[in-house]
Amino acid sequence: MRRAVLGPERAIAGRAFADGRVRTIAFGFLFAGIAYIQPVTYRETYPKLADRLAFARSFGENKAIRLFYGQPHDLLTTAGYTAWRVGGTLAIFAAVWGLLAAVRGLRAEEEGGRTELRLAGIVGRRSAYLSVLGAVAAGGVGLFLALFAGLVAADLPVGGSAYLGLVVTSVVAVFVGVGAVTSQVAPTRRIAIGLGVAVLAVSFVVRVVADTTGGVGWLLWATPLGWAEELRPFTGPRPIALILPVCSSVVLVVLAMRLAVRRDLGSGLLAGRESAPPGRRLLSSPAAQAVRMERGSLIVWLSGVGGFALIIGLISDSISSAGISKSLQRQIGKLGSGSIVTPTGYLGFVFIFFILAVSLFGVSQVANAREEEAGQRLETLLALPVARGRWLGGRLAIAAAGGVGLSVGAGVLAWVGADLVGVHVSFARMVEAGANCLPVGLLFLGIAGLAFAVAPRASTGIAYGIVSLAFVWDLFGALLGAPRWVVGISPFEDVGLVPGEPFHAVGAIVMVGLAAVTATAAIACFGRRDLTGA
Amino acid sequence: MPAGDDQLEDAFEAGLRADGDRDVAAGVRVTDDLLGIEAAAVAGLVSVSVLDGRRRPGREDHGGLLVGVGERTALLVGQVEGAPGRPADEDRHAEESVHEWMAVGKTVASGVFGEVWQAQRRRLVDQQADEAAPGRERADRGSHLVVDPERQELGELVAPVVEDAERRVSRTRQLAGDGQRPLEDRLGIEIRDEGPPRFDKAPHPERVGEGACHRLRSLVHSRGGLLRLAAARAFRSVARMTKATPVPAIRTERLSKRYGETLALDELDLSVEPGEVYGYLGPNGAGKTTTIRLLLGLHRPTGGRAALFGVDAWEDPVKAHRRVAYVAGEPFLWPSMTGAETFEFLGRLHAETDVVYRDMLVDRFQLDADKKVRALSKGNRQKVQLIAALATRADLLLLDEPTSGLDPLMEMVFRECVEEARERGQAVLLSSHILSEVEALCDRVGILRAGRLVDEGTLGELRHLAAQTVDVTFSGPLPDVGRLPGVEVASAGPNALRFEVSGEIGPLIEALAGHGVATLTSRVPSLEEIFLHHYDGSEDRAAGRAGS
Repeated sequence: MRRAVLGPERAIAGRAFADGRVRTIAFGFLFAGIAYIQPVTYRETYPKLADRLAFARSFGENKAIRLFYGQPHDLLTTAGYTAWRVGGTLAIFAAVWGLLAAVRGLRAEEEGGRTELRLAGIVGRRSAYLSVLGAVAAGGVGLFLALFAGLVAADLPVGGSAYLGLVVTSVVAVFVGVGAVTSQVAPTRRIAIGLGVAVLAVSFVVRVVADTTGGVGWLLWATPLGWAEELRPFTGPRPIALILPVCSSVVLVVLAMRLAVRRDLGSGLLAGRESAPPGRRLLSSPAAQAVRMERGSLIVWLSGVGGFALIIGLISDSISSAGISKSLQRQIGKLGSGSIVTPTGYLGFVFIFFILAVSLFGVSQVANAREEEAGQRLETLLALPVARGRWLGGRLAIAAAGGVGLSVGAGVLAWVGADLVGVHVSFARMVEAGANCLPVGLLFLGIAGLAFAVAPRASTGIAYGIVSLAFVWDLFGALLGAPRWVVGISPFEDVGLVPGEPFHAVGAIVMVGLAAVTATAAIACFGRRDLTGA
Repeated sequence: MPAGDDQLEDAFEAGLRADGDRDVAAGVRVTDDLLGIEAAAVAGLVSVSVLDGRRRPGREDHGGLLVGVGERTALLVGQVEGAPGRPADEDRHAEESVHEWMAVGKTVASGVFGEVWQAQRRRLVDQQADEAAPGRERADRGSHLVVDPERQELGELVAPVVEDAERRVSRTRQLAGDGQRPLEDRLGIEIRDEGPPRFDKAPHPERVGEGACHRLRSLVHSRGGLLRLAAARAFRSVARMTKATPVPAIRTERLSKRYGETLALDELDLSVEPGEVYGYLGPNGAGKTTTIRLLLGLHRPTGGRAALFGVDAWEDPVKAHRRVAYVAGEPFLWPSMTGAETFEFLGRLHAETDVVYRDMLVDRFQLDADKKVRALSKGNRQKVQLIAALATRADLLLLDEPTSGLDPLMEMVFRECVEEARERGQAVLLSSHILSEVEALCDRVGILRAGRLVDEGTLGELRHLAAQTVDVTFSGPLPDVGRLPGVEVASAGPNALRFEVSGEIGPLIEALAGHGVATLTSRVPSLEEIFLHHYDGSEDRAAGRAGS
């Protein structure tokens, strides 16, 4: 019998593409949306050159802003602004997508035992590996097209838009390579993602240091995120620098392939311990065991958020409102950045990202609880004299406690950082800023719990989707000139950004109340439904 | 410390009085009952102790007399300082206490047996000896029973049992990692030795005593001789004290489950008694796993109800699960935890795990408990599940294809364990499609097809209903036996006929008489043939598919 050309390879690639399509589509919308909104709002907010000059003067030297978006090269043209704002933001999203896509296609499949089934077919290890990467590449092309379409729709030059798209896609390629390698190194999906996120975090920190510290600008060449900056879309492009991401992603992908075809299926280079003396701590109840299982991710979250808070504090001293007119400050405010021209205002503005982090943490905890159910381990637990309400309540309580730790930790460490560089902001006020993250975090935790109880299979997607939507809604709703009450739907909008703004007690109380209601409803609904497998 | 003898007697009397049995309370039969239970205790079948309720925050303190039967089930004869408040509350409290005590009672059993009951037994010996030969020094009389030959034999029986008990106590202490700390201390209980307890109220003796009665009844059936006598006596005492009536381990009434368009289970009526091993047969997708999920309250019935020991599985799963252990069809466990950690975790959740038995099971199943679950093969992961479930000694074991992945040697070990569970009076629901296993283990078998129970009964009954094959060769010409109801005839050679007989074979024998039968062989159908018989015919197959 004749074998169809690339039959199994095509099947593998098709499957891998289909597995990742929801995430790819979501990211595609995000890319297109940001690419369209940023240039359009810039054009509307700063129609005149004078405005733009003032804007450039204040932002060009603002280290705190550079921290997020990198170094601007031209803030006087729409294209230059777009390259800075869109390129800077999306580089990170691109890295996250590349990492998740590679690990999902390679390590998660292998951990689930499905790679074994594939390799049992008439297909070699090498071509199976390449087929998966082919599917990931197809997704990357999709993101490129989404970004390109968004930019062109915003009336930017076609050539430059394609180049900016290419720049962002180059970050995707590098982090697909990173994900491919960590998938070979780590024995499990979680560890592979953890290692990849660590690489991303280091790249980010190196870029931040290079962008905000004088004299070490060359460091930019040491990080993939810096390469994207140095490619300088719209502002004196240097396409020759593309050689760096291209070469490094090829090297990483080939390295990962060599590792993949040599090692035993199912193993990682980091061999986990196969035997261990029994550790009897944290086994006394389902909640204790959940803490035991989540220890690793709790530590990663705490150190990640804490480290970021410290950096934020350390650079908060570069903020100054000198020379910026009140009307311009208002206009900057319209860009979704609040009053960020004082250290305290800046800290308050940045805390919206910590609110996001705390919310995402809560959702991730519910997602892990759902994995427990999908993996049918929950069935084993609930066949014992363990009440459903107690189990879910315990999981939610752990997530809430973790959220408290993250929030307060972020506040304290930001204060430590700010204090070290001599920015005077009261400790109590910063702890308050941290605690201010909680109401939104708890609300999303409750919503995620309710989604879990009502629509278990779709719950993880729903919960992450609602958080992302609310966040993007808050950032861009104001820019689009939507009525106040429409923007106010997003809980992020209803927070007073302590310490820059006063604490909104009413909003916080309403959110905590809603959180309690949704959590209670979640526990009640979960007690009334069938357990649902994957 | 062991409770005082007087206290034990008082406790018993009070318990009996609480039961409202004046005759007993007058003391006429107390001794007899005591002897009955004591005999069973000496034989290692039951244990008795006076326990103080564990102190737990937010709960009233309870104390009382605990009779452990068959090492697992406790009978709370009396209650001390019952919770004030509404009667309903008190009932619940009492029951919860019993469940807690059942948990500790099992582990304490051997210790109690060695301590309290040795003392109690000695007292009775002395008492009997005093009656038989007043005036003699007690020290001279030894410690065995002297009155009748049967008792003598019982005394001889004591030594090895006591030895065994002491060995187990010391092993338990060793495992606790603290030889110095008293067992009571480690278990968080207190064995009362001050003042006689007051029994103001009898807490639901009917419900509490059910398990005890079942266990004893099965012991009466399974053991012989003296042990049987002892168990029978204990059973009578317990039954009378508690006026218990048996409650089935599993009972479903018109239990139905629909998933969207698919009717997975159609008005199932199932009943499994304690001490019974029930084989639950059916092809893939017939509804076996659905049934188990409904029995555990993991899925919600679309119609009807499922109860475990009379507790509704959906309404009150936690209470129902206290007496149940479950082995899932697939060994989904926590990959990063070792076998030992999994046992520890699941054991703590059940609160009834017998660690000594668990270690024995680990040995018997040859499991390396220090290996992480992710490093174990499927069969070994299955062993982890099985050991965790068996070690609870739960009154009901729900086993969903428990031997999948096990090698034949381990399958034999599993069969032994199920046999032992049955002997202890545990009920077992064994869902399987390995027919040899079901044939070897099960007392009763139910055959499920497309969500309906199409046949049910003991293996003998099922055979009776299915056709049996009778091969007959004739010395003369083939006779014409005419038409017989339920008999089909086929030619099986030049002078032989094959009859497929449904039902009684008698009419065929009568018809054959006088026809020069040379040989006659009859073969009962195997379970496999019965099973296939139920799935024969295209109509049935279509029905089977529709439900899967």
